[in-house]
Amino acid sequence: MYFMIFGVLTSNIKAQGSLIRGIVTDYQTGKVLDMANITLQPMTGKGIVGTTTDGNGLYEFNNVAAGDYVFVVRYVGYEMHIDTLTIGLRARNISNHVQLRHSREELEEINVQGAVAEDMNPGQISISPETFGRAPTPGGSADLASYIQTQPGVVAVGDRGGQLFVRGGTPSENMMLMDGILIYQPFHIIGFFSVFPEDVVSNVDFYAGGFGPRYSGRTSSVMDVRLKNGNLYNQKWSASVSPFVSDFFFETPVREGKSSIIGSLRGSLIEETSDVYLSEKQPMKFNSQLLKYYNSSGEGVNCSALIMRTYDRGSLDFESDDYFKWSNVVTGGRCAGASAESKVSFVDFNFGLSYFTNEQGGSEGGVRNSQIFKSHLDMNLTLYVGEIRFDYGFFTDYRTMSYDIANLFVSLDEKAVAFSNAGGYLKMGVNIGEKILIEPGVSITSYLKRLSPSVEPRLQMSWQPRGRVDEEIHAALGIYRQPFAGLTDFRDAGTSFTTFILLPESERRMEARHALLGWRQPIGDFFDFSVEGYYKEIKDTPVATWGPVARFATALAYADGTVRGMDLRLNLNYRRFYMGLGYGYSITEYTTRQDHFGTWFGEPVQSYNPPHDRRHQLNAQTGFNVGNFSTNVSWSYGSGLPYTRPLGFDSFFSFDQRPPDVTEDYGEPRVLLDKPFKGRMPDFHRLDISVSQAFNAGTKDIKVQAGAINTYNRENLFYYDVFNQRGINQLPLTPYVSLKIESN
Amino acid sequence: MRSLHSQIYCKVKIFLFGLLCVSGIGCENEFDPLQENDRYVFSMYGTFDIHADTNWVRVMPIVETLIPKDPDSNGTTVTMIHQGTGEETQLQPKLIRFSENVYVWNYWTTKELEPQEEYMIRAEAPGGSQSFATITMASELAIPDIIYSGGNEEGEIRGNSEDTLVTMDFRYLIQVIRDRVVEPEVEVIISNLDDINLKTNGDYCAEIDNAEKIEEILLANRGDMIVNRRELVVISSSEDWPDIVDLSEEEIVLPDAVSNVVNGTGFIAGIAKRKIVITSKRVSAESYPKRKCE
Repeated sequence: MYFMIFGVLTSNIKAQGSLIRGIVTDYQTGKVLDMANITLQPMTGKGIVGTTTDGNGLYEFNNVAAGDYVFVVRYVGYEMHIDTLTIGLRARNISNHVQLRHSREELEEINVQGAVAEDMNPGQISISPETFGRAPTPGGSADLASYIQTQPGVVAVGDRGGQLFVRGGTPSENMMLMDGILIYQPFHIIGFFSVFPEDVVSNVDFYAGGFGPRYSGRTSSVMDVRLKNGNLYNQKWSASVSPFVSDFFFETPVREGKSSIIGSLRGSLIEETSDVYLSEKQPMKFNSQLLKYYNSSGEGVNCSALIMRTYDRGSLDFESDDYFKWSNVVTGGRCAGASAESKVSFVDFNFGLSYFTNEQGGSEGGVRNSQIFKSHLDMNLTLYVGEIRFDYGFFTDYRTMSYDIANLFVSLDEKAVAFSNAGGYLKMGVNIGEKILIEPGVSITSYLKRLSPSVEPRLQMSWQPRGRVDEEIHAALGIYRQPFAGLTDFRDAGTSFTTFILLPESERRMEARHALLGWRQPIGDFFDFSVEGYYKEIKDTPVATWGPVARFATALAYADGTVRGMDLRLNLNYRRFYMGLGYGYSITEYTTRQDHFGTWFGEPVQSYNPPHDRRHQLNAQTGFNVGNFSTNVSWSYGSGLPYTRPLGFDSFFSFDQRPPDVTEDYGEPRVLLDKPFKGRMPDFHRLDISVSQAFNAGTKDIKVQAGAINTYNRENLFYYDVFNQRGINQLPLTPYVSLKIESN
Repeated sequence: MRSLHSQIYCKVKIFLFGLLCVSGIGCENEFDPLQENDRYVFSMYGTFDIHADTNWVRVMPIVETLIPKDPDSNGTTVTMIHQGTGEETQLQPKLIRFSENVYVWNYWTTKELEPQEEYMIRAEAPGGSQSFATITMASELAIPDIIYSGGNEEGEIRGNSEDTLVTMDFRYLIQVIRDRVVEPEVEVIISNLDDINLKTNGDYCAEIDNAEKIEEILLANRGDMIVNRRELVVISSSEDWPDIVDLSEEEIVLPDAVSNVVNGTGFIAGIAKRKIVITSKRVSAESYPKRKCE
């Protein structure tokens, strides 16, 4: 990888003035620092210029005139970096990478004012692990899974199963990246946990829609998680335990200042503890293991490699014999760097292998399983031509998918399939004046004759009326296609089994067209307000055909539809106190043609709201830190999810080839159903609370946390099993205590 | 159904209480999973056979559980009305238990039925709500001529029917010998409906060749089978018989797709049924002399 990166970076360029380019990173870990402020001030005192680092920590000054300069880098929470630069008369290119050291004093300031103002793309939310804890998690470490579910536009149908729906999209339409490597199912079967506890995460960029052409192959959302690099100078470790989960994390330098590793081990305990601690046994289990190696060349090129394995197994309906199992194995590497000697400002090279298998079994319906494997290779480059920034790249993937689904979807004949694709993307960043940025782009993918090529134009625009990055009106448009589908039989709400397939009809391709318009606005010194409206058209989403008899086989149908809504956020960060309100409004509507609907309802085309259509979602979070004491309170409300209401039940007899014998046969139990998904389950609301106190015990820090999930013991329905007429509830009031010990 | 005001009040209360972190108070979980049913009163399934001594029909109220476990008939009365004469016959109830706590109600009558006559079968709840089906009885069906070879399970059926033939089944009771062990008797039913050659005057002829079909079902060679019983069932029905040929699997199970019950679900048909046991007189060990249906 080094050779490839250096190969790209060593093509010399000529410029009129000098070019200064570099990457700003954290001294201890090599973490790139986004939105660091950099100024270049001539010693003469006149003509100061400034810039900020981008998401890769990259900054660049072009055409710098000869002279002596004061070079200053500022970043909240870090010591200011001041240096002098002398630029000679002969134009040259200067690499100036900067490592910032943490400032003890300014760390306090972070707690006061919250996060650094981010220059975000339309649809993007930037999440730092420090905010995970705002959603109380019944474990020793806060977790992305708990936090992401509090975001407007993100719907989890229950507190188990690991299925997230973003702005009307289905779980398989979400792209989850871990240091650029795809992971198919990062969420654990217990809904509070994922493979991303706060200990291992550096930053998360979550795109709920309107994302740029760098991300292709998914139609709904992108979650781009950057894992933490291990500390290059100090060993650290932590261990925690709660009734739900135990964690162990460590980080250590391998070669001081050059390379490091982190390791994370997690395992659930709730299956064992629930027997003695809760009223009902929770038959769910998971574990995960992560190892990441990081190497810093010191020349502006950093590389990392990781391997992760996860395992989940359990039941969503604790009274049923049905079980679900899934496992991820992910490995890969990444090299990224910048050099002033190159025409290309930044290069990012990724390689990854990702394997996912899932299985459903039980007393009825047989065992079903489905596997998907993906290997990918991609290179992403950044180039400035004058004032125009070009982000472009190339990628190639190879996938295999196989399944044995005991005829769950009867129209699927092909049990295994392999296909490759290759493509590229280009995005231009064109500034119009100081305040308007237009970013047109396109992603082109060839499927090497297996499928028709896909050309997906995208456009993002932003206007910062007063030139402030936190005050912005933005918009995005784009076409998104997905070459494969993840089929889940959502007639059965209590499932998390997904079958990965190429759609049987080659002319069909899952597609979404996104349009969004948003506004971000600080209010005073402490409030941040944002609102984003969105509209999506979706096409060829596979859905199960609907029928009144509980059968394990179903034909495949397709739905087109629309999703429209808005996400609204209001955050307050005042000294040691924070408060956040998030409201999401969404209407998801599917239209599907199923021939038997004509017989059933008189019209073969029916429109309905699918079972993840949550119309209103409200999340309120508040908390404060005083010394080593902190408290977090999170209240979530979600309006009822659709389900199909039965009118009643009877037993059905077929007159196919012979009359029924009612004296001998019981008949086939049948639900007399109304039109699909016309009913609504009860509203959901839940209050989660946690308080924690940290102690210093010599070389160790000890944190004790106590809390409760569903504090007022609301009976929240997870789903209603129409055929067995049982409501399956989510967790009742669940108190917990956790203990975390970490080296300091 | 709660009023709009109370729903709004409830949601505001939820919001405020949640926001203020007040524990223990929330709206009652008033979840009624069933939709009010004003379309279907009873489920009615069965046939009325003009050749039968006793006819049975399943009549069950549309229930609120998938498997009805209440043995109470709720006072349902089932009446057969001869439309031509107005004569009413009340059917007798019989509780059938399929397994522990799984009950259904069948209703029966020994009343002699008139071929080609119209009858109404009516189920009525004590409150007066009712479902009914109007059916036409089938014409009489003559017993067909059968030539059959037991060795090869092949033969020929000839007969005449004024009505449409809806069933031609061979039912076999067979024991398979596997690994020198004689397995328990199993019933194999093979439909030969598609083998019928029908003429315009009602004459029909069917060539039977069931040996391979039986072998496929039982996964055994013909030589490893002991056929204990052979039975031919031929049924004709009036024009009421449901035409499901063009319906998909999904459509067949829909409550309104195959139904002649008004205010209810199900299907009742008038039939003429002949059941002939293939005795040794009709069974020949030799191949039967193939005459070929023309």
